[in-house]
This record gives sequence, structure tokens and C-alpha cells, in this order.
Amino acid sequence: MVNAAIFIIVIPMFMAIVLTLLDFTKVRVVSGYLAILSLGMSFGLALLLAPQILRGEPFVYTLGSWNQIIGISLLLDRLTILMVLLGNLLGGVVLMYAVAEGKYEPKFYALILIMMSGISGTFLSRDIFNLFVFLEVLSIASYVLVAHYGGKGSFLAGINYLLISSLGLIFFLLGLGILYRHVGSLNMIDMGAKIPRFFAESPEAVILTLVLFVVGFGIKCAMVPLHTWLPDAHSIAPSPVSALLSGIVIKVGIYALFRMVGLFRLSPLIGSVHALLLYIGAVTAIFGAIMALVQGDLKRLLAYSSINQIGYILIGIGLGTQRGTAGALFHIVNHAVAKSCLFLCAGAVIERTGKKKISDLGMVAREMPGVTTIFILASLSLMGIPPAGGFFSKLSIGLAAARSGHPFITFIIFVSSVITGAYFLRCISVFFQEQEGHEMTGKRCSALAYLALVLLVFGVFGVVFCPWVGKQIMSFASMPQETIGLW
Amino acid sequence: MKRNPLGAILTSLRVKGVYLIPLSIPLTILVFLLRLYPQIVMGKILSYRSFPLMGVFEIHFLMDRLSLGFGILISAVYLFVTIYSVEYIQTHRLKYYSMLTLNLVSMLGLILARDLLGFYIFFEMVSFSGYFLIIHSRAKEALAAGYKYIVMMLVGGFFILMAMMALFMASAAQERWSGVAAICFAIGCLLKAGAFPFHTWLPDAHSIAPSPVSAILSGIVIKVGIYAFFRAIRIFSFSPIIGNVYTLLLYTGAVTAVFGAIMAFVQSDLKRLLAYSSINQIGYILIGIGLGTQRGTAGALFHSANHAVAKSCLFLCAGVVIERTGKRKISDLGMVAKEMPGVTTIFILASLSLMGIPPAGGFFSKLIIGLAAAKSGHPLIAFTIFVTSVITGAYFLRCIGFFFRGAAGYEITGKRFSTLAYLALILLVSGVFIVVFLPGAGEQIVNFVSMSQNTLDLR
Repeated sequence: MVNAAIFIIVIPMFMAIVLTLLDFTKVRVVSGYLAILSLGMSFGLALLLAPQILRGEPFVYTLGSWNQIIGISLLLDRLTILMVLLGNLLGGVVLMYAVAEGKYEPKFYALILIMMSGISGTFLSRDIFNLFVFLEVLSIASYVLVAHYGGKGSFLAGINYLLISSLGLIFFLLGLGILYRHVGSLNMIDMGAKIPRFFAESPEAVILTLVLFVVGFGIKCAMVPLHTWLPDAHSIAPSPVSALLSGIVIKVGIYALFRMVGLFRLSPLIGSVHALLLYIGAVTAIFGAIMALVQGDLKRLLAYSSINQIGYILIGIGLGTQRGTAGALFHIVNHAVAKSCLFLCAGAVIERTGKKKISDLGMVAREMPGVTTIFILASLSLMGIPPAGGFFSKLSIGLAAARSGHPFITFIIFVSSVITGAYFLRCISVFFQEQEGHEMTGKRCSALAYLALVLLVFGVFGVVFCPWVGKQIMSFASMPQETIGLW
Repeated sequence: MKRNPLGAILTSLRVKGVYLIPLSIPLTILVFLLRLYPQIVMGKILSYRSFPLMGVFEIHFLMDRLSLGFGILISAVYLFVTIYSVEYIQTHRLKYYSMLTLNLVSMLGLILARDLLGFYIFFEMVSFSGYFLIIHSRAKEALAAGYKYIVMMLVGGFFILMAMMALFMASAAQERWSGVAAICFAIGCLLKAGAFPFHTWLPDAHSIAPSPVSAILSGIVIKVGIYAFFRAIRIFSFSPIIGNVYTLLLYTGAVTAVFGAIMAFVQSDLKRLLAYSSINQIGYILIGIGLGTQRGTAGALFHSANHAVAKSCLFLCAGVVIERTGKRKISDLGMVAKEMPGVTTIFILASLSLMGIPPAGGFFSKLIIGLAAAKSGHPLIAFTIFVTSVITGAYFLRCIGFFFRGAAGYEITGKRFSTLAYLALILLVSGVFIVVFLPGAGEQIVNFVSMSQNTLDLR
């Protein structure tokens, strides 16, 4: 049973190898379905492990029972199981859409599976070096996906993404080195307790580590001055890849920030880290919203909207309170579901019309009523319109900010929500426009693609009307304290 | 362009008798509310708690006299508008009726919500379903007006959220934050009601929407802001700045009334005239609330009911006139009185109420507000009310005068409306004169305000 943990990572990785080999045989057409199957299996395994963890019994799995310093050890607690479930579910649904689009070769699916197994690995790894390794694995797969499969200008976008993102990873590695030198452990749980001594020894080194970590993870999750790679990469990648990049890959950076904040919770500097995240989050939210408002390209608008929403999540983490963290976690889930749904809708629209500019997308509502409806419903969540899930998470973050004495931050959250509404509605009202002489030449959406979209849009509203899920997600925020008790 | 053969049936619901489904919803609600009426009037209060949304948030519902009164008004107007729509709306019926029903349900949710969270949730749902109703024709101007409308509504929602936040902060520093909450809440509601500095979205949205939608928007939806004042104003009465809020409402109301009247006077488009006339009438209601006295509030409540009925009736009449003549400019509408005597009569009767001509309900409510203003020491405000009434009379009579003019200059092209549409109009116009037929009714409405709970729990 406990062995299931490692298989969450291994199955997609193994399937990726199988798919590369299948490319040379006649059965290559089934590769997409096999990829979905493997992600489904990972999801199933995580689901099997979930009840035990939800009961409050997190555990550590050490691969091959090696010594804990040498061996790969995995930590499963509420936060990781939530992220793994979310990641694999989204991956499966997005692959369903990719199969429906039907223009990808087995290597594409193999790369996506490598990325997904890297994502699961990042979430599950207990020691910080493994986290780095898996982060590297998923990044490399995503560079190839952007650069090789994207549309026009994909090479440049891919290189841009690669350079900036590797720079971030190098910062992270440097910080890791300094931390290891002073603490002498890579185990994230052990390290947390040793941080105060480290701080007493050399405060400068702690500050340096923190700066390196924040910059490193900040690049991964596109905090504002470090976001430059995101709009290009996310808008040029093929739509299923954009959905995964915006839905789950940037959340890896957020997850790492969560862990980092947990790691340094005992250091006296944690207050300034929180403040930094809080204010950067506010700037990110406003900046992303305003930039999204002025975009002319549909997918770029969605990419900037991701930056905007990441800002709210950073604010939630930066508050440093239980409520704020709970809101941030819930917003991660809502944004992941809604944004991947939106990217897939955008993909369907672009596939059908062959146009990417928003102003050219008239008649979409008439020709594709289903996709338009789903687009509107998913965007409600990001605008923060009740009863979609995003409203409740945004409200939780906003009220948590007000509670902890930052009314100005709450003000920023609500103002940027209005801007979010403005840019999404601009897009929606163009969809409803009637245009003369407009030809819809591209492919129609297949039933499988609709199924993927409908599943995602159910996710947007499901968290609200299934009270159990919401409660569980909100309670995940109490995770750090729980794990401290264990070790 | 090849289309799915089922598409027309599905999206436009070209099935006989299908309109009975959307009709049955407001009818059921109306019957249900009327059955509750005897209990509620005796002072019983029903409350209900929703299942927890997202595991944490709950909505509390409450029904007292105020919400019941608004509920009956709302469901009656929706019922008549739906009857009228059977004839009027021929395309995209599925979208239209589902959004209309969503609008009705969220309006009812809004008036029954007890806490600010529920209020906000239904506030946004009303705004969004309203947006889709406004852009029903999918024309460029409609989309532009709809965009303007929805962004302004989002800003209104933002102010409500800020009020929520300020009340959250209030536990820390009571006085300052409760003042901020009161101001934010007031601005949010004024935006929704289309009061003077925030009215910019109203003339566009209300004139471009299909006529039944304009009737709902002008008659009912802008009353959301007014209803919220009735509910919430006493919560803020402990705040030291409540006097300032009242003064703000009073003078905003006066400016709104004058501005709306003058702007309506210079309009050349029939529906824009009616839209500005709504701004004018909202001004009176705000004055009534802003007086802060029992009489003023009662008058405002009564005037809300009168304006709801009369204005929706006027918009529906305008819809018939515009549909049949194909003209929207007032100066082109000669011979209307001859061609459509029934509609003209109903138009005149309904406009009597807004002009404040005696047997109609609007006269009494305007008089109550005016006298309340005089009594509480604002003779200037009372003067403003009566002066703008004269302007109201002037612009409506200008319009009616054109109806009676001889030169046609157009051909009656549109189809005839059946008895069903006329039934809706007649029922609405009899609502205007209900105080005459049923002398107890006006008194009941006026009493509602004194007995209502005046609670909107603010978490």
C-alpha cells in the first residue's frame, strides 16, 4: 500500500518510455489513450492513499529502504496529496482534450508524461535536493513542449523560457548549497528545526539563501519583475500545453514557496519574507490585471490573467495566517481548474476560427455556443463572481487580509477583481458580436473535447456545491504544524 | 452556412405552448407569496439557513413584511413581462427565458438574503443575468451598452465588498470602519440604482435592451439599490456619520431628480426619455430615504412600488409602438394615437402616475415624500420635488402630443400584438390605479416599512 507512493511518479515516466518506443510501431494511434490511462492510474493510486492521509496520518516512504541521506524519500501529507491529486486529474483531462484535437505524435504525449511525473515528484519529494531534480525534469520537458510544438515564434519563446527558468533553477541550487553547508541536511522537515541555529551562526547566509530561493521560485511562479517569460511561453505553446503550464506548472513554484515559508518559519526573518510576498503579490495582481486588459491576443490575455491570479495566491501566502494560507490553497485549486478550462476553450476557438486576435473572434457565440458557455462559466470563477469557486477563495484571501490589518491589500484584491471582470467581459462581448463575411473553416470540437471541458467546468462549481471538498481543502492549510508534530 | 436542424428548435424553442414553462415560474412564486401574505402581515418572520457553500460560508434567508412586499411586486411584474415576452421575443428564446428566470430567482434571493454575503452573491447574479438580457440582440451598440453596464455593476459590487471588508475590520476600530462601511455600501447601492454621478450606464443599457428587458431593468432591477437602503440603513444608525449618509442621500436624490427630469426633457429617443425618467423618479425615492423620517421612508417605499408598475408599463407600451412603427424618434411618432388607440390610452394612464396627477398612485407617493420633506424642515427639497414634477409632466406631454399629431411619415409594418400582450399592459396599468380601487392597499404598503425588521446582518 505504501509502495503506491513511488508508483505515482514511476508509472507516467515508464509510460513515457513505452510511448517513445511505440512511435516505431503500428499501434502509435493508441498512445494518447495510454498516456491518459497512466495519469489515471497515478490519480487512482493517490486516491487510494488519500483516506489514510486525510485521517491525519502523513507518512514518509523511503525508496528501497536506503539510508535517508542517500535514498530518495517521499513525504505524503495533506498538502502533497492535494497537489498530486489536482495535478494528475488536470493532466488526465487535458490529455483527453489533446487526444480529441488529434494532431499530436506519441513523442508529444511522452514529453507531457515526463512533465507530469516531474510535477508529481516535485510535490512528493521530502528532501529539497530531490525537489530540485524533479523541478529540473519537469522544466526540461516543458521547454521542449513550448519550443518544439508551439506556433509561430515558438523557438524564441522556448529559448527565452529556458534561459530565464534555468537561471531561476541555478539560483535555487546556489541557495540549496549554502543551506546544506550550514545545516548539514537536505531533509525539509529536519532543516526547519535547525534554521534558528543557522541564523545565530551567520545571519547573512540566511538572508542570501532566502533571496536566492525567492528569486528562484519567483521566476518559476512568475512573480512580477520575474514574469517576462510567461506571456510568450504560455501563449505560444499548443493549447493543451498552455493549460497545463498555467494550470499546474506555475503552481509548482507556488508549492515550493509554500515549503520555503514552512522551512524558515522559525527564523526571525519570516516576517519580512511574508511582507515581501504580500507586497509583491499585490503588485503582481494589479500588474497582471492591467496588462491583461490591454492585450489583443486571446491566449496572451489568458497568460497575463494567470499572472494576475498568481498575485492573489502570493498575497494569501504572504499574510502568514491560517486563513490566508487556506484561501491561497483554495485559490490554487480554483485557478488551476478554471484557467486550464479557459485555455482549452481558447484552443477550441482558435482551432475552429484560425484566428488568435480577440477582435477577430466575432460570431464565436453563434457558431460554438457550447464552448462559449463554458468559457463564460469558467471565467466567472476568475472574475470572482459568486457562486463560482473563485469568488469564495478570493473572498477568503481578501477577508484574511482585512483581519490581519492590511485593508489596503484587500482593496487591491477587489480592485483588480473588477479589472479581471473588465478584461474577461471585453473578450466575451466580442464573442457575441455579429460579423459579416466570417468563415469558420477549422475543425469542429469533438465530443471528447467537450467532455474534457465539461469536466473542468464542473470542477469550477463542484467545489462550492460539494461542501465536503471545500472544507477539506481549507483544512489542508493546517498542514505545517501537523508535520512538525511527527518528526 | 449549414446549421444543425435541431438548433432552431433548441435555441429558439419553436415548440407550441413552450412559453407556459417560463410563465409558470413567476406565477407559482406569486401564488406562493400571496398565500404567505396573511401570516407575514401579522408579524410572523420566516427564516431559513442554506447549506454551507464551500464548507464554510452559509447564506441566511429571512422573510418579513418588507421582503414579502417586494417579493410580490417583483414576481407580479415578472409575470406580466413574461406574458408580454411571449409575443415580443421571437429569437433565442432559450437564452432569453433562462436568463429571465435566473434574473427573477436571483432578485428574489436578493430580497430574502439576510446577511451581506448573500446580498452580494445575488447582487452579482442579478447583474450578470441582466448583462445577458441587455445584449440579447447581439448588435454592436447593445454589446457596448452591456459592457458599460456590467463594468459599472462590477464596480458597484466592489463597493459592497469593500463594505464587507470594512465591517470585518470594524471589530478593531469600531467608529472609523463602520463609517467607511456605510459610505461604501451607500455608493454601491447608488451605483446600482443609477443615481446622479453614477447614472452613466443607465440610459444606454435601458434604451438598447429589448423592451420587456428595459421594463424589468427600469422597473425592478434598479430598485435593488433602493431595497438595500431600506434594509440596511438602520444598521448604520449607530455610526456617528449616519447623519452625513442621510444628507448625502437627500442631496444626491434632489440632484438626481432635477438632472433626470431635464435630461428626459431634451431626449429625442422614446426609450431614452423613459430611461432618464427613471433617473428622475429614483431621485424622489432617494429623497424619501434621505429624510430619515418614518414618513419619508414610507413615501419612498410607496413610490418604489408605483414607479415599478408604471415604468414597466410605459416601457412595454414603448415596445409595442416601436415594434409596430419601426421608429424610435419621438418626432417621427405621429398618428400613433389613431393607429393604436389602446396602447396610447395605457401609455397616458401610466404616465399620469409618474407625472403625479391625482387619481394615480404616483401622486400620493410623491405628495407623501414632499410633505415629509417640508415637515422635516427641507422646504427647498419639497419645492424641488414639485418643480421637477412639472418638468416630468412637460416631457411626458411632449411625447403624448407627438402621438396625437396628424402626419404619419411611416407605415405600420410590424405585426399586430395579440390580446395576450394587451392583457399584460392592462394588468400593469390597473396596478397604477390600485390605490384608487383598493383604498387599503396604499395604507398597507406604507405600513410595511414601519413594521419591517430592518435587519441585514453584516456578519
